[in-house]
Amino acid sequence: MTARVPAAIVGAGHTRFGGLADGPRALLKSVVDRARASVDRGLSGGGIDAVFLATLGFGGWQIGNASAVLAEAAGIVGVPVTRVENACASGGYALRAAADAVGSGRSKLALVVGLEKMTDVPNARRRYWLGVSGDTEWERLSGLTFAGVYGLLAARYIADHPDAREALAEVAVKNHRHGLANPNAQFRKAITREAVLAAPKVADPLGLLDCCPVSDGAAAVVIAPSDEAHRYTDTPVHIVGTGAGSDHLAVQDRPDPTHFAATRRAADEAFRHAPFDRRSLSLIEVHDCFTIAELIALEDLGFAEPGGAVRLTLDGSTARTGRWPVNVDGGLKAKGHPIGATGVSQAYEGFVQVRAQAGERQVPGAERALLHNVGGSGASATVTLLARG
Amino acid sequence: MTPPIRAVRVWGRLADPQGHRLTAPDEDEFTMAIAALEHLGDRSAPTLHGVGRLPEVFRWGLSGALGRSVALCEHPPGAEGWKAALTEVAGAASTPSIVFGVDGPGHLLDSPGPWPGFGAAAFALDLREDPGLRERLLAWVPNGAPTIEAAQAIVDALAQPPGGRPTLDLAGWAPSTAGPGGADPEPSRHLERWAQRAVSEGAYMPEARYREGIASHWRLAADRCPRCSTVTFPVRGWCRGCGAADDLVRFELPRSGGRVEAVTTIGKGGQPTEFDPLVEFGGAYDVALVELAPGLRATLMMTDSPPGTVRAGDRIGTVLRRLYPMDGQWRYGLKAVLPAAREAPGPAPDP
Ligand SMILES: [Zn+2]
Repeated sequence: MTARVPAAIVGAGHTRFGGLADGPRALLKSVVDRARASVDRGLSGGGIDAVFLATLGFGGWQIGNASAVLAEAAGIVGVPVTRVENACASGGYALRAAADAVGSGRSKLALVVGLEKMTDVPNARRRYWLGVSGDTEWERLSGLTFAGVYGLLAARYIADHPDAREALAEVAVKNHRHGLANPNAQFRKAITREAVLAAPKVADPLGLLDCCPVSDGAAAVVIAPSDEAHRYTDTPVHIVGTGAGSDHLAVQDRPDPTHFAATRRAADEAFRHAPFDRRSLSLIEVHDCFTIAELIALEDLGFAEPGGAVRLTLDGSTARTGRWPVNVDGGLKAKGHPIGATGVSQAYEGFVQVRAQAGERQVPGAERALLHNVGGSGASATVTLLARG
Repeated sequence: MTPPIRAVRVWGRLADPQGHRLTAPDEDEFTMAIAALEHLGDRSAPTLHGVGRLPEVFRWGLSGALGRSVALCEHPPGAEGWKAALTEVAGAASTPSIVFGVDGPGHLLDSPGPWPGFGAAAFALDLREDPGLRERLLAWVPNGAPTIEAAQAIVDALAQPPGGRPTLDLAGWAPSTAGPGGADPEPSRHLERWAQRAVSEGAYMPEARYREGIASHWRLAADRCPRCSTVTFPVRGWCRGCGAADDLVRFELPRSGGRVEAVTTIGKGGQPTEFDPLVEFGGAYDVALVELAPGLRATLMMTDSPPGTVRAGDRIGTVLRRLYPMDGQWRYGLKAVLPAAREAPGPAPDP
């Protein structure tokens, strides 16, 4: 294994997240156009020679061969196209696959696109699709969707750590506050802890405001070999570590139901050869599909002992101005969670932050970012480390 | 001496003076028959006599639920069916018999409700223990009583001391469509709506996969590995510790005594589509992560207790109940119940 995945992000694009008028083809064209336009010296130096598309295919639109259909929408015909599907971790896995393709020398310029169109699907069908990535043999039959599974985890976590209910509410409050500064965010509206706690319960103890929304959206990044990155830009953002893991699909089959072994494995792998450790990170993007997920992630990623994420959250350490800014783009909670797009959206945020192009939400002096993407309730996960050249 | 007539169990949507329980929204003739048969226990491979219109699941699901192969004789609904069943039982001098009657709408997907006397009853008879019982069985005079009432009456009649007349008098008995206290028969209409709704947006579980999972879903079957001692639950055909597929020892985890590790109350919007009616009807429901045995867990829906009443640390039991309809059939699985809810309903006439 090489000590450094020799790949760098040289361009990135992002659509707004939320209920959008555009269909999948239009979203894809729009986000690829933006990613292309973001490449400082343009793509004249070489064409895209591989496409990795992350999408669940929500609602059932073009489940088979979606990559070909969508790449064509962006005017890319003829090159190898690969669809990557690991539920909500599709984006992180696609990013890793593209970095590996570039790192192996097979690809000289890879495009990673994450896309999901969710709001044009009727309510019943939408809720069916929200459950397709969970365990259908036990969890689903017992009446659980992901909200329910995370509700069980939250109940268990609160029983072990009594201040956690306040911390869960604070995760939502903080990420909504962060979302205010992100023009792409679905929710740009501040909320209070009281509102979070008083919201109707979806899966007690989790209420409506503990859950991420249903979103449309797309994100894309362009990846080149690190040693060729300067053909495209003076400020590439290097992928200096990737890690991935998986776990039993059903929480009931895991030895410790309140922690995600897939995240731990992914973090261990990503940091194994990274040129820095956790302490020197400038920002962290974690997969906060439900508020409890952010607390669990902080612990599994090694930023806190079990239960320690409560304090980190309540004392402001995870705010944009804190020790470890977490989800400065609003996270899944406020920015939105178009399933396949999320992992790529995290890379977009890392890219613009490290290049100091994040505007109002810029973390001063950001040099190193960690991206954490989870599939479902922890059955798959990736961790990606980005750094300035 | 074991009494020859053992344990009658009667359930149904009845407003009878004995206070027999109403069916819960997730009970039907199959789950009630299973509950009645489980209550009677395993008596040296009895023959089952079923009286009434039995839905398809009886043809393959009895052994799945009871964990043993079961000989089933089917008899038509009503008095003729009871007469035929009792005559056959009277002729079976060497083996015990279990007789159960079901009186439901058949398959809810193709018959209307509400219906009187919806329920199931079962009792066991062993002629080896009371040869005189044979005469009384043959002397039983059928009448037109509905199935469940008939079952109760048969047992009452047969239980009379020798010399008593084994006849039934149901003259004063009026089946009602209302529950105790005049409860609205709304649950049945609700069920009907549920069943008639096409659950095309439910999690799709092919029939084959569903039946494959029944050992663990209905009886908590687990496998112990002789090589590494790992217990695998739910069963998957190989040991999850070492991968060995040979010589696994099948056993069943205890059906009661599991401990709730965590519980969530699912409210509006948190339920999978196929459970929409449960939320529409009951507002919410509880789901628990249960430790069935050390290190072995299952997520189980709670039933028979109001939402929000289950706590971490509670001990639970399990009952077979309806889950939701798919491909035109009801799917069944174990749900968890608090012991109090499990013991409370109905008389316990086990002598
Ligand atoms: Zn083994």
